[in-house]
Amino acid sequence: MTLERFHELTEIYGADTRRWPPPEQAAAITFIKDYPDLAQSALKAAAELDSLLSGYQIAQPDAALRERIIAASGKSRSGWMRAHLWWQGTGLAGIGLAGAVTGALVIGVIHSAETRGYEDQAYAVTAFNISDELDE
Amino acid sequence: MDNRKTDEELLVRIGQHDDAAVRTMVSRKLPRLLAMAVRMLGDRHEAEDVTQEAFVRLWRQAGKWQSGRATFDTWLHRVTLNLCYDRLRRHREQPVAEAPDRADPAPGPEETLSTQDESDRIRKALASLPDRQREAIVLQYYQEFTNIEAAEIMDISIEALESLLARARRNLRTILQEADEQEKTR
Repeated sequence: MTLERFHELTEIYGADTRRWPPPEQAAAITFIKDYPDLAQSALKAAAELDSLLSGYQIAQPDAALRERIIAASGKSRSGWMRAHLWWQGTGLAGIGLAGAVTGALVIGVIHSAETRGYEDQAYAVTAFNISDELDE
Repeated sequence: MDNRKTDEELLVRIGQHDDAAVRTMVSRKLPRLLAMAVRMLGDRHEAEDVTQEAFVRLWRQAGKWQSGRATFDTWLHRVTLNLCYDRLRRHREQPVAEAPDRADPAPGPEETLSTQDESDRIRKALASLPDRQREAIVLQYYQEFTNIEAAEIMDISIEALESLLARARRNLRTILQEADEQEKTR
């Protein structure tokens, strides 16, 4: 490793070599051993900034926030369940009321439910696709 | 145990409506996501809203995760950062009379006033950085992502990440020095 590259890395990643790119860590440690004076002068300024940055600590989340988030999981789930049951109910009501005469309607409802399920699936794949989230 | 694997296992269980898995996921991810949002937004209350919304998106999508494209943690950080950017954009579009200047809650009794001052000083310096520089330093320094992971979350090359990090550190040094000088002339 050259002195120039060593300087560059301190400017980018700070003084703690454990935060440096893994492929360059071993070479950096060797450089520090071989050229302690040069290395220390490069590390000093970076270490000062690191020390300041480390002083900005964030308080842990409180219990109320934690519980709100957990409660929201139930709401999301019950919303999904309600929609699911509604579609099932629609299909059953269609069968009960229409009978053989409205068989076509039943097929339509089932088809509609199936189609919706497929769309949900497609949405899920798209929604849980990191590149889509990045484009937001 | 492999964190990625266990995150994915938890997602499957959350998709099957397992309350214990929900609680484990919250314990595992909330402190880190909240800390990132506070440092990005500089406002605790907004950061809590953003983090809550990120979890709502997670609950909606649980059970549908497709392994192999990116780690779940990367995805969750990206979603939270996108929500932070929405807030930052809204602030720029609808500027308020006075910018929010709410620090993290009061420190515990063990923390001295000077610790709080130092923390506030860094919070303000971070807030002065351009958004992408702040994002880079938050991901690399505070969230302790590797350069590869941080670049992936930001959807940029490693060279671009390194450029942002170098500029962020240079700017922080300048901002902090200027703040020191202003303090001395008071």
